[in-house]
Amino acid sequence: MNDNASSSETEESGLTPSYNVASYNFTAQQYWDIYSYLVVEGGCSEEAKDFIEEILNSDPDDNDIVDYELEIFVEITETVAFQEQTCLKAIKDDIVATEKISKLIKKFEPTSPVLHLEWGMFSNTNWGNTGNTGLNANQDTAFINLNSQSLTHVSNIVMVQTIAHEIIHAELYRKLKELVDDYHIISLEEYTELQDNFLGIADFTLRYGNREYTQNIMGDIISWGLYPDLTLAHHNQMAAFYRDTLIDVMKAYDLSKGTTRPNAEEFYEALSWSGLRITSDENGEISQFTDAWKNFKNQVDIDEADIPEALRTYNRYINIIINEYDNNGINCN
Amino acid sequence: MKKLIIITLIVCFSCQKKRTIDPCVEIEKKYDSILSSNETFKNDPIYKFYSILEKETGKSTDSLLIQDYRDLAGKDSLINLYVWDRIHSINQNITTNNVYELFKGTFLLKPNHNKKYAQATKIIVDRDSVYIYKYDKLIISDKFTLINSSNKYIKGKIILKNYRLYLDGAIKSKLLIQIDDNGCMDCEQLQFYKTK
Repeated sequence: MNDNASSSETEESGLTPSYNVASYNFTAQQYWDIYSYLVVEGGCSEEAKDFIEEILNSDPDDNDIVDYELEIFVEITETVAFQEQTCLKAIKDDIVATEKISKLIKKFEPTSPVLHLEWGMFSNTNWGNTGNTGLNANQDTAFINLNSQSLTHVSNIVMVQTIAHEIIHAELYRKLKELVDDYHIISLEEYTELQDNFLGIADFTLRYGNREYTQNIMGDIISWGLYPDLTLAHHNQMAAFYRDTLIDVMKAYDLSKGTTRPNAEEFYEALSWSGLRITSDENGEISQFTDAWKNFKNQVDIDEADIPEALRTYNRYINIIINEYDNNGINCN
Repeated sequence: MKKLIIITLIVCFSCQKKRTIDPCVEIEKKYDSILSSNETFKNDPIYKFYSILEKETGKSTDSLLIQDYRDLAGKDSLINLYVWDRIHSINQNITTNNVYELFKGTFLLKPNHNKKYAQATKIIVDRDSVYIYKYDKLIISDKFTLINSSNKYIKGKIILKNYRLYLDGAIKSKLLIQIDDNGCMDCEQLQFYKTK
């Protein structure tokens, strides 16, 4: 739906003419959300009109997201440094508006949030390190930080992939914190809760963590604790189960910009592995590959045994990744 | 004849009475019984197991007890379970101690990292504690847990609150520690070389 269509629909639905919706800097998705809330779901009720009025009266420069289901403004904090990176911020806003990511983002700011989310910048001359996600000491806020020095090197699609990748880290943290008091050590009760609610997180946390327990002479467990290794757990879980999400987000972004890629399926598949092949720094001497990448590579080596190694699928993927990283920088023109 | 029977009965009764009231004999019997039970207990595998267990010190000399434990293993499946558990624990402790001896000392951030942006620049492993510094400022220190590794490159892992320190000994014959922070995904994984 285009902007004009949204505007005329809202006038038909009885919205006071003094609210010139077109003067707001809404995206097409936001116009559609307002329309569907007001007309389709709200039935043009007084309550629905009041809520829309509140949205229109709010500061249009705010970066709040509106959760129509809960009828609340979702406040997502951004640092000034982040907001000053207008192109990066526009990319982030486009990603947050995609169907899959908007569902994840909304969970960070319900009425009683488990985890707040803040967007910021950092600077590291190692521009290949495009972003990171951390928790504060109180474990109540996740920070997604993007490397300002990457922005003059990598292409838009790399930042799209990075932002989606970091949001998934934040989501994995949020789910863990829903049930675990202190993520440094997980008790048996908390682990059982994880198994009941988030089996994937429980599985990967146990598989890549260290379990410590003591037993009495009769074999009864006296103490039990799981020390997670979240870098390994997150990246292995993401490589195994979240690459489709990353691909969908990249496709949705390109579609919204009218960008088409030659060999599109291979292009998105390749980039989905970015940051998920190796869990340690590529500059380091130790390269610890994720299990999903090792399995994928081993299978390719069997399936493509008659093809020179340099031309095998995984090397084509790596070349696509390198090409998009060593690029001309992000561009929103 | 009657008289003889009466005299015999009197003698018998008097003997019987005398035997039952002698406290020394009673005690002697109980003592013998306890000694016998003790002897049986000492020969019991569980007693032998505990007597070896008491000799453990948590040091590398515990390896001398492994043969004693092996000699105990037999038909009793419960004892076998205890015995193999102790042998496994002693072997594991020896490995842990060896890894600890190898990695105690000072480690400095590898030059390929940018000190300015790095979370830490120096690590000291001393006795039962690890100290992590950014320049001269102590960031974190605490007693650590050392975990053995089955990975051929990683000799062990130190768990220190949110940090995971991988102890690596296979790189260019230099000892190396690599840090992971549970509180930061995709942060640069810093590597530190041991100083001589």
